[in-house]
Amino acid sequence: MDQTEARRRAAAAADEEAGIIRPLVDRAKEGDADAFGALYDRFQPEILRYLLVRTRDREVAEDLAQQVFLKAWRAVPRYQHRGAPFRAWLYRMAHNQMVDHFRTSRPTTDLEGIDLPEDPEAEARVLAAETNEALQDALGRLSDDHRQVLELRFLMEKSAREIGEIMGRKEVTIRGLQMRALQALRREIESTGGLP
Amino acid sequence: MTNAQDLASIVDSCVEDVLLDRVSVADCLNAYPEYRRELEPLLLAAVELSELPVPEVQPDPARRAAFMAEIRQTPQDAPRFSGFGLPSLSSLLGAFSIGTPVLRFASVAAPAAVIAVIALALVWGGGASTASAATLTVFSGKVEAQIDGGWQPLEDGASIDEGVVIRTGNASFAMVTFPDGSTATVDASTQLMFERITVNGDRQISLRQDTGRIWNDVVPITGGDSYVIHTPHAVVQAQGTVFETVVNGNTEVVTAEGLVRLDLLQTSQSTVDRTVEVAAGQIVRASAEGFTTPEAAPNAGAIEVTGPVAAYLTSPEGAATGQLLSGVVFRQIPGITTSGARVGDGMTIQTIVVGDAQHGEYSLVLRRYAKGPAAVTVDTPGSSLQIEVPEAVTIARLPIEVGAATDGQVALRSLSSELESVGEAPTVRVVETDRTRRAEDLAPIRQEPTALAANTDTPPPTPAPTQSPTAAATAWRPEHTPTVPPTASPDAWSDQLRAALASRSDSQLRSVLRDTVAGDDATKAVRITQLAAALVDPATAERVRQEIGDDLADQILEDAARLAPGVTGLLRNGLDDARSGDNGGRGNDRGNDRDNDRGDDRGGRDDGGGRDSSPGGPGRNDDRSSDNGGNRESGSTSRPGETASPTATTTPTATSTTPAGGGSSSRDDWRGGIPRWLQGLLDALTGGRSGLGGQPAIVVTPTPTPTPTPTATPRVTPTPTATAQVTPTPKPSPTATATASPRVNTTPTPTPAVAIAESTAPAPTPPPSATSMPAPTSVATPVATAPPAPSPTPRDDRYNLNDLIEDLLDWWRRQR
Repeated sequence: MDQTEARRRAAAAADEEAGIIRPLVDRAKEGDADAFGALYDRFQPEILRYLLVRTRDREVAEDLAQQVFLKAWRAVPRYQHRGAPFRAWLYRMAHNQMVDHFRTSRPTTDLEGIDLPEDPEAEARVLAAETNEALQDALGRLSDDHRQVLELRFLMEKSAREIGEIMGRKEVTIRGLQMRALQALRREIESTGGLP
Repeated sequence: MTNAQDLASIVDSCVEDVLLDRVSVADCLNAYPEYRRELEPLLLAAVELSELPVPEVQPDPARRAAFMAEIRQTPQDAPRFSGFGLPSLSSLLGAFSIGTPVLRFASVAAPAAVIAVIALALVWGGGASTASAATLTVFSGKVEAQIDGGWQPLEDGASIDEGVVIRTGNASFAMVTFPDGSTATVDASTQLMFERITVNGDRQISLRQDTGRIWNDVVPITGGDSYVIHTPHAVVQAQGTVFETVVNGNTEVVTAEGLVRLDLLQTSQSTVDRTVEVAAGQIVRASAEGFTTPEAAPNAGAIEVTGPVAAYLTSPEGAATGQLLSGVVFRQIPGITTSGARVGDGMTIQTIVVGDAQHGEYSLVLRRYAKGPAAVTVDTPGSSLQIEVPEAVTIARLPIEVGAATDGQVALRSLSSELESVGEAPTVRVVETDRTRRAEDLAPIRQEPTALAANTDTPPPTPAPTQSPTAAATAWRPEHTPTVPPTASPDAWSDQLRAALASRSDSQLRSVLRDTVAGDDATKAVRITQLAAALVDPATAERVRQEIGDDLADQILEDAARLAPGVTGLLRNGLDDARSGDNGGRGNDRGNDRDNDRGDDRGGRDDGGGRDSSPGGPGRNDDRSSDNGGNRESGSTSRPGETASPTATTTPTATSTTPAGGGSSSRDDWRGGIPRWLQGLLDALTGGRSGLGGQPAIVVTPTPTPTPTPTATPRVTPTPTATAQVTPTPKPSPTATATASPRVNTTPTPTPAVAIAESTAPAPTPPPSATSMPAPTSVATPVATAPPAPSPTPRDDRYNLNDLIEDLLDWWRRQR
């Protein structure tokens, strides 16, 4: 198994965490708003994208992201450099925020908020949109764990290790979870007659 | 690995490759035809998922501005709660004022049990130690640190934080010990920066080497751990190994053990590989042009020591590579590595391998710890010299030369065909870390043969209680447990095992061995660790191997992998011998067997990864690992917060291998004593009448209140003298830990060098105050030369609840 890319990514992430993120977090812990602003700049787009993948509504995602970072600002003095990187910590907060959001509101299936890629071929675009919608629906019927691991892996392009940090589980557990999630997704797709 | 785990790994691997366009789905299916049916639908689903459009988002300046305005008005939470202020047991007892034994028992047992549960819950919650400073040992010459743009000298024992740049002068030689126990020996004219020194759940150590030579002995890397050296030409990443990096126009990497990966930083050749792995015995050079082909590294020869002898090689500068009687293994001399003692052919074998070491004369020091045949063999390409170690010799020396052979290659040779008996062993400087503590915990007790012989036929005495602070302070780890309550506790099993081994009743032993995997996980973990200790002791290993069946051995190994991964290497080594019946192999795996050390280092890691990093999670700010400042010589297990005596620093008295619990029979000579926390807990539960250790095993020794410490620069701090100790005392409470590593914002000041011989007592009879092995009756013998701890006077509190938590966490972390 070629793990070179994964190792390189992990090493790069670790270097970034050590060299850039950690000093900023330390300053933010001391109440330095500018340092936290730099963290916001670094992670807000990524967290927003994660929220957007699930909510599929830009305004909602923007609001949730704002709440996540506001909570992070309040809580950062209690954050400890002890295992989970700051990025994973933010992801957890974002996920919790999202769960809270869906507890009080129904998820939207409005695709208009998403910037779909331009496609000159209208027919292909419609087909792609239908396929995407069917997939999104299938994803939406999965358990929260299954859905989260697939979204992080395939939409946010995180490695099993990074997902483990975000979900607070071991890497080997994530691999098993990923397999079961794919199996569940396959079943959901087949239960509706397959993708268009 | 089960099929499900196999498939999960294959799915993940294929997904990774397919997503990165390295292979197609068809390629993956062809690569795993046996899983094609299961794999195909999963990979197709994965591909479909990966093609879902993911919206791109752009920063919104207006939202950012609003956010920044809001946080400037929003107060932050208070920092995390990070400690307990629990009362001691004695104060609790005082508060209860209960006199009858039963009530007294209940009054102690209840809170102790509650605390134990809390502590375990915290451990399960992922509490991890944090340490981020390395300790400098200066062997010779000078070491300087870059502070405020200038270079200032560093003293021996200085503490080095992240971000510090150091350099060594000409003819200088130093060593850096990281909190996890990894070491980097720094040769002359070397400059390096400590980019990251963090030992969390995941260890992250990162250096930037600009020039010179570093010899790295890295505690095995697992999970998210990393040990990385950035050079001008490459990123050198260890996989838990021993290797050398030399930066001099290019980057040369020589791997002595394990595997090292190099990633080229830049190259003018677009076609060259950018990554190469350097296996043990190989050398690779990296430059802007690319890598050289891995080739065989120089090999000067090897020294194999068989029998009950611990050996180490010392360099002219004072560095050493080998093993102490205490079980601690160290690899400080560039180009020279060693295995820990391993069991084979009914005896222990230790192998010291000499590669591309500095030419010169070295000393091989041999320390006998038991009677029995022993020999040293000096193997060099083309010749071999074997010298027997006479039983009468307890400490011996053999001069060894590393130089150029007639063919120009580096070669090893003995400068004498006879051992020189010496009365005093040269000092070895080892900084105490979790690594050394684990090694000592697992190593058998080793003592001078005279003491051993004296103990052989003498039943272990019941240690007399003592109120002597000094004597009590030596009793931090009881070696003998005379009696235990008839409970199912692991210590009871420990005694049963000892009794069974002593009884020669095979059925009894088999019965006790079966119970190794009985009980809950915590119990099993303790028993498995103790079994491992029995398996590394020549006096007990053979019988254990004979009576343990294949099925039980498999079960123990399986449980060990889960519960006590640190000892699986030891267990596998011993148990596999039993099952294969192959006790040969003496020297067959020279240089690659480091079970006694490397495998043990795997404990203590927090696999929980930061599970509790989120705010509001279990709060525990365990900073114990950062307290390893004291340079220790000849294996004295100095503990943070222990007391030091300036006069004692040159007196060969107390050492950690002294079993203050009193004498023990030779059959009891394995360090299979119950964990300190458990002993303390039992003492607490029984109101101190369990008899474990026979004397106050855990005595709270208050240390002075730590001075509030600034966190600002400079980040190089001298190691406080309080950490250079000779008298083992109980582990400090969190308060004491803080005392051990003050951040003193001052120019480094000289730290008294500690010169503690592991055992310099001349044979045959150690004096009562000596050190390596007291006579059986010297249970309460005070360590005369070690003065009492500084004020305040130690209290006989027996066991403090804080200590209980600390010990429980420490023990459990090691098991994990």
